Amino acid sequence: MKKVIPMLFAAALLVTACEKTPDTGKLDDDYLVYTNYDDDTNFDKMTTFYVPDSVLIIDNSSNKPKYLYGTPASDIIIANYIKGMESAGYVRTLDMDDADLGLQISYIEDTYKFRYYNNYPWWYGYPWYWQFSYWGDWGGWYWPYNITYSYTTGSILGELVDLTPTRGTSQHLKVVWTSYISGLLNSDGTLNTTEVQQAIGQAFSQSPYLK
Amino acid sequence: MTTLKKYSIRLALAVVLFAGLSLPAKSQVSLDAYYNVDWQFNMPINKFADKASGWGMNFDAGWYLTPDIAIGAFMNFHTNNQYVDRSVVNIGHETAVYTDQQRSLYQLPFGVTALYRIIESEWQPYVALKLGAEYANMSSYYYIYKSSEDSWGFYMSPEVGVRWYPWDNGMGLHAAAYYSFSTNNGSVMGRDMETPGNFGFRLGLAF
Repeated sequence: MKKVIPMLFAAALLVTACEKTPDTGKLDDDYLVYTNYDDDTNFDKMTTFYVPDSVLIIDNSSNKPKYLYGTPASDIIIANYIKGMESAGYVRTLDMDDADLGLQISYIEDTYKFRYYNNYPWWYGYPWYWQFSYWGDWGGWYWPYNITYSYTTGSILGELVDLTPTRGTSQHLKVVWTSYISGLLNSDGTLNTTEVQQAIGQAFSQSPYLK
Repeated sequence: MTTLKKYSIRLALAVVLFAGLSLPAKSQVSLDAYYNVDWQFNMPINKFADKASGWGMNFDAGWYLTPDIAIGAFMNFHTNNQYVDRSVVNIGHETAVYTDQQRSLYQLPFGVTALYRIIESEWQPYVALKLGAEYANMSSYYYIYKSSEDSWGFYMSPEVGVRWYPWDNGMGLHAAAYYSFSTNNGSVMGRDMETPGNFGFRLGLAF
């Protein structure tokens, strides 16, 4: 019997010493909203913002930048970001030179080249990402906080850049706010526009430091 | 995987039970030692994952230095989970996440046991104190992501129980109640866990 007991212990231990994974089926399978901001930026002093009329598409196939322009999806996405900014107290301007903040919006259609990077420069590897030169005479990007999640297909990335500092090739353009929204696809692969509206609204409501 | 684990646990218990019942007649395998394998029900006291569960096991072995006093070794493990409804989770000062989540706390303490047997008979009530180290893993599952953190701490657990040897084949039954405390700490998805405590009981086989 004494020889049997250690074997019984070992057998029981081998087949049972596992962590019981929780039932992720209980999760509501709804969207996720992730926001970051630069604590050193004084958002109170910003008054105006500029938003491009297109949404950058991040995918795997393109050999040049692709944009969503004038589609129902892009219109809803842009309109809801504008609504959020205006609700926060910022005034939209159609002249980029008059803007304190720039809002660039991307739609992640494919994650093959765009997964995640924990540190600056986190977008490296996707050549058609927003260019800092789009926003004026800047010398590069500056990312004041880390991004610690991986991207998924069907996600929206909205970022605010600070356009107030003096520009120049030695100056870096700072991204002062990020909203990453995931889980917006219907089962047929189309965007759930109702959730797009809710999720963008949530991104602003959980960012009370904006204004 | 969950189903596989469930059947694995049943299989292990069946093997132990069969082996025990088929042993030659004897009131206790060794009067100088004790062994037990237990199923464990744990009620955690912490702010991270506080839902009671039966997802755990305990293993004990010890040797009597005197008819009343024994020293031994132990190891047990347990998982407790908690569903957290959709809310804004602040992580540090600059990050916020809006999601629901399943939090999970896995505890695996091991160490030495000091045991005092109150009565030496067919019924053997005892009191014991377990001391050792605890490995703990805190995890949060949300959307398609998982965040987790490991920690180590000092572990202490007073226990009262009884071993009952009603048969002549060397096998008995074991029941115990315990409180445990460890110095583990950590933070996952904005929720801290400091010095987790637990209440619980164990039912199993004694040899």
